Amino acid sequence: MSNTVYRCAALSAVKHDYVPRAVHAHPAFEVVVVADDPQVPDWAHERNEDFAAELGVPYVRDVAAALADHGVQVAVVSSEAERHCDLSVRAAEAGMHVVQDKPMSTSLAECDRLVGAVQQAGVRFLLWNRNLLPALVQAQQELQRGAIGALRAIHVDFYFAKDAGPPKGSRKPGFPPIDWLARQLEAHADGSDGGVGTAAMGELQIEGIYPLGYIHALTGSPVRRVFARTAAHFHQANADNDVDDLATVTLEMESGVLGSLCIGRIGAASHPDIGEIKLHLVGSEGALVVTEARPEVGIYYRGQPATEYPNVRVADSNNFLLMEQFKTAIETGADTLLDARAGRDIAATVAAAIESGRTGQPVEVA
Amino acid sequence: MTCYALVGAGAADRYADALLRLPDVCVAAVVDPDAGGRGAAARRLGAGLQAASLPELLAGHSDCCSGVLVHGAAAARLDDAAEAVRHGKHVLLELPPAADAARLQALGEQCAAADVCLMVGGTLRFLPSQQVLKQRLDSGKLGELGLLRAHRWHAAAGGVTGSVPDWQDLAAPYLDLANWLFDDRPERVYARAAGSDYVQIHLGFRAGGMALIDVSAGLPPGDGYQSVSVIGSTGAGYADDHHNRALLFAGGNPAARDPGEGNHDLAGELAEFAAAAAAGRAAQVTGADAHAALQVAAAAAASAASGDVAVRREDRYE
Repeated sequence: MSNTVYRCAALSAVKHDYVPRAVHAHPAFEVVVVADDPQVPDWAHERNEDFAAELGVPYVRDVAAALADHGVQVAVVSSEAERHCDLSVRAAEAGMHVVQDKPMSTSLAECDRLVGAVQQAGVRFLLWNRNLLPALVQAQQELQRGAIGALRAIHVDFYFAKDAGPPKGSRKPGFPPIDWLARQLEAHADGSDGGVGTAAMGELQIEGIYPLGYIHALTGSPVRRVFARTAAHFHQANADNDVDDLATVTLEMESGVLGSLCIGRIGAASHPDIGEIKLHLVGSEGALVVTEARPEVGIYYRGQPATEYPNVRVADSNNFLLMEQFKTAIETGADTLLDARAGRDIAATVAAAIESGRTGQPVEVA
Repeated sequence: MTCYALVGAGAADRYADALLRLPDVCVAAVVDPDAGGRGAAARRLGAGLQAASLPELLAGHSDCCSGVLVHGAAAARLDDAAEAVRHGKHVLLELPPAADAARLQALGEQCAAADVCLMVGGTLRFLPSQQVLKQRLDSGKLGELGLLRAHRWHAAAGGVTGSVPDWQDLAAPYLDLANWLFDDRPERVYARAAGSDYVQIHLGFRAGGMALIDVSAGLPPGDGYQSVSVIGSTGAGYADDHHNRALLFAGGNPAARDPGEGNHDLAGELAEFAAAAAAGRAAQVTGADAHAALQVAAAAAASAASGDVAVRREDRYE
């Protein structure tokens, strides 16, 4: 491996700046500029400027100029979801390797465009994921050593114990529906703005990449067919914008493995930690139950703020390992851990699940 | 003292433990075709009567019991229950095989005509863990139930019938649990199976409620696993073997030890049966409840075979 330090441009940091932060934290990558399009709204410019100031790098209101003028090799995209693919496509077409926040896009056509652009440019693309959390790595190792035989079924529970504004049913007669973007901007303060953008997104779209990424990593198989139930069960913003905050999906993989996903933003009161996130794997010779959050340390004390998670994850090298593997991919031409094609397949699974939830019928994944 | 006849010597140990909590209930007779087994069971339970079959017992000693606890071979349960009803006995019937759904419905009508109590046992409703979930839901603390998630994995030879397990039979108690917790029957049923020992069943209830249940009978010999989560609009409950296991260190990787829930479920079931029969009221788990669960199991089987969604049309699934 080389000692190269890759120069990175953060193309918008309006959502989860943990992605550009994680990239910047790896010794082989350095964010040297933050950039965005000039026409983005003022709040987006403000967030970008704040992030650039914190890193001590310039903020450029011109993506093409930033890529051209700062000797950049990697673009890190963390914009609103509806702009993800467009920024990534432009970066790839400029010859940049790309690290992109989730979800891949709100549009499957945009995902296809990105797959084409990455392939055409011959660059590496990494869709951000949590597949290298310690518990996931261990699960992969157990599967690989044959501890439970051949995998027959995989089930993931992915409940985020976070609130999302007023509870469902709280809107009084005569009051307007909650504006999605306004709600997301308000949520930025507590980090629950994973759906930031003008296009409303349900939990399947916002967070589905994580559990489906686990399933992708553990099965190595695309999903062929889904059956889903979806509901806006908890939050007024989801009900007002006709997007799910609770969903269940039956998954039929091309490999023949069966699976399922339960996902929801179930409210802060519903779990003492960030949420119950578990994997249940059924094999031909045994089974495996995994809690995604382990290892962790429980901390409880008098006066503990309600907003502080009492369980602290430890020995989590996910971000470091993702970037380490991304560096390897750049330098060897290997696939990244979750490349554009895999990300597109997950987006297609999500789209099929949403359609199934609407129709009440199984849907073939495009 | 309320006395019952027990059909199926294999249940004697559990009853002996459960009866310790119920001083006003006894088992007066044990019925089993295996003489050795029924003799041991009768001694264990302090029962004075034994018979090879229920007709034999009731022909000679009809007044020995006010009710019959039917736990025998799955294929004979409905016959034994019907025989008991013909003699005016109340019946606690272990959940019959899914294939007997139609006969169970007929038994319910027979019981109603004879004015005897029919309660179906062997469900999950009296497990302490599930009682807590139900109580918290009923109290309103968890809000409106949105999701039930259940995993149940048995060892390969650990089916409820004691023979080759059929996933419909293994899933039926969980389907009853779903109906009970949602207080409804699903509108849509979608199932995928892998072989005869694995199934996952996806249920859709009115108002957006949903359930996902997977059942496997393919674990290696040893303990099974159960996990039930309920997600409500204002709270959630997690009854999970994963949380409740102890670690035993005896060299190598530690073994997980399950303290289990004892026989509290059977004691609760029996107490409810006795109370319902004495009061002349419907038991908490009626034949109609069990029939509904078996109907869903049948719908799941049809869905697994066809790949289509089974949709409820009034009292049946298409």
